[in-house]
Amino acid sequence: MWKVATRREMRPLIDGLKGKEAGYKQAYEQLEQDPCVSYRAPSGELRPFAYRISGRLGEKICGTHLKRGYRIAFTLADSDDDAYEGIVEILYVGTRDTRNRSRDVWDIVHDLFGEPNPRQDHDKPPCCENGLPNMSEDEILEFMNRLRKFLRGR
Amino acid sequence: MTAVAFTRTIAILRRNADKLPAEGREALDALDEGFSAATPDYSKKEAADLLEVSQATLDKWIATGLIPTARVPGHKRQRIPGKPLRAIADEISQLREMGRKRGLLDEALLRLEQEEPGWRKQFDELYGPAFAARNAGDDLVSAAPGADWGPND
Repeated sequence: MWKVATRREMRPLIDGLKGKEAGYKQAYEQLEQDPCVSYRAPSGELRPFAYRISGRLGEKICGTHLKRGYRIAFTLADSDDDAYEGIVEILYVGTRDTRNRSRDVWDIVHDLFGEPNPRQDHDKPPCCENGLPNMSEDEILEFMNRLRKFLRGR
Repeated sequence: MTAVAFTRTIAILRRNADKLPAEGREALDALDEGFSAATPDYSKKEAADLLEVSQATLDKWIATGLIPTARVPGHKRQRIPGKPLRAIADEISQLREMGRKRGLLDEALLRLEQEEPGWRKQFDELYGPAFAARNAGDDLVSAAPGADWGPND
């Protein structure tokens, strides 16, 4: 069992999914159960529930798909509470929109980190394949600080 | 009808304003404007009733600087300015409907800050330093979906 949490800055974005039929509830339950799980697709291929995003942020962030084009960006952390395997920390929720950079979830996340979003090599390796994604508390606080300013300016 | 009951009634009508015909919305605007002008501030007891918290909790919230207070001629005790109080109370009421029980004031203010364009100008003036200080070193909050979400949400 994983603890699925976020920061106050992010909570209104999650609340905004109410009524959107984006399937957040289902994804939340899966993140609670195991963010590292893979599924057998009808083709027989093993597909990860969550994948590493491309580029330099890949070591910090995983993503997973919701319905209606929504994506969740999250990182993983150790938990002090033995009841949990770890903490899934949701960093951002938004829609994939490759035609509109200012609205695209991955462009927004990369911008908030000040990193370029690579246009290629989106091979989506499994989130937990080679160790777990990780961010320091300082990196998360800096990200949330930028997110707060971004959300105010929208 | 008391000021608190009237405030709650207007808030409920506001939330359902999209279901009213144009004349109804105009009448609501006029009613809201008239009531706001007639009720520029509230006593602490009224504020606690409106926020549905104990007076001790209200005092704690005031001490953090996140519920503004004012000295008003004609009143011996501090008063709570009506406009921010009504907005906060409405957000807190909606959060409670979503099943939230903790961190209501902080979350209500974040929602106002991020979602209400009309508030952005006044926000720093009213809450800026206290709010920024409160959010520094932010703790984790639950990412659980709301209790009132639909089955496909």
